[in-house]
Amino acid sequence: MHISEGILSAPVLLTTGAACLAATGIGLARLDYERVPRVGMLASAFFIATLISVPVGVVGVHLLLNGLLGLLLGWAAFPAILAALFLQAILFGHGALTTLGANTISMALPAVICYYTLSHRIASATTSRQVFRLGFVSGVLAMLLSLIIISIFLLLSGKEYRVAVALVASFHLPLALVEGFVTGAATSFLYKTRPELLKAPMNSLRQKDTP
Amino acid sequence: MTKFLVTFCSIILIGLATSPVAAHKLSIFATTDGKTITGYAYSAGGNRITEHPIRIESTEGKTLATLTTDKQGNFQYLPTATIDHKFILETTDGHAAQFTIKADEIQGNFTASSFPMPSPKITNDNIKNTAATTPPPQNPALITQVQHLREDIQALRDQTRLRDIIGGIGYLIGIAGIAFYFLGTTKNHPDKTNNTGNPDN
Repeated sequence: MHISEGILSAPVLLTTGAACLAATGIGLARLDYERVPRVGMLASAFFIATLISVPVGVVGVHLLLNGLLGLLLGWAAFPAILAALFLQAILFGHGALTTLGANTISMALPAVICYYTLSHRIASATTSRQVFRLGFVSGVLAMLLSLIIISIFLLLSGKEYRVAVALVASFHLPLALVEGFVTGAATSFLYKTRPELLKAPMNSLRQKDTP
Repeated sequence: MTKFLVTFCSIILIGLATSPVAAHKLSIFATTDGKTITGYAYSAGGNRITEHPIRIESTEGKTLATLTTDKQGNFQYLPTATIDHKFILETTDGHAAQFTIKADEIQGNFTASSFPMPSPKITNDNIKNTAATTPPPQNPALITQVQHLREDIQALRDQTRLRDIIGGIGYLIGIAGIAFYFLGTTKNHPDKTNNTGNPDN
């Protein structure tokens, strides 16, 4: 799912690069001193998870964990994912440096969307089963949104991928279910052990959800 | 948080240790015996990419030909000019791979002359130059060995080594540490707002 060199057109690369920088700036500005270790550790978890590739389809699919990152980090998912993808591009050659912006947006934007739609509900959840369900939804939603965003980038670059986009989606749908289960399990585990992590991922400019 | 991360990371690392960690990458490998270029396309874990189009481009970007890999992921091409050949494979989900066969590997006799190697007059002056530009002898066993060597080098490059993973994680935690330090000196630090009179701040 990392888009490689030479696939996207220059306007798409430039726009996504600029947008990614802006979003990372927002993520860093809203980052709290006490939450930095969490960002580092979750970035490492994302780094490892995207490395494990299951050989399905042409290249192989891998878990994203961006649903979990969105719920726990909010906007800070952008710098976390950008750093992890940058290191993957340098160390392993997954994806290219030019497509960093596009790849980051395709993975971090769904994380932020999941944050805005689901984290309030998780914060006010009462049972761990509820949290599992919300985590599951977050995992599936994040994976599907990532697929949609990647397809949009490919189509905008003029590639004739209409049939292929459907094919790609079919490989990834079962994976989205697995992602949902993993995210749900992780969030319900956190709910039982450290619920304060799910309550306030980051500073809000509205000051409404800062503890 | 530590308990969660310990279990999480140990699950991931067990998964890494037990299965061959594949680099989620697309690759092309090609060699030539001077006349024909043969190669194959493969992905993470060694799976071959079967029945997929491959484009051949020159260094200027001109498309020389389009091939399709066969059921084993192999392809073959007969070069018609002594130039660099770039083999490009692009999949439909945004992955791409390329491999270049350099011009000096192709022993082209595309002119009217039927001698494969031009043999300049060997004098004392140009003996060194001749040695550098004369192509290697056509020894099939040697060619096969070199091909295997190149495959091994490519496989080495493809490997996702554990030390690279640990290096990446180290970098991430290091960056987090630096951010931790800098944020500690800004107004985000909780102690700053309390005016404790600490001389270090």
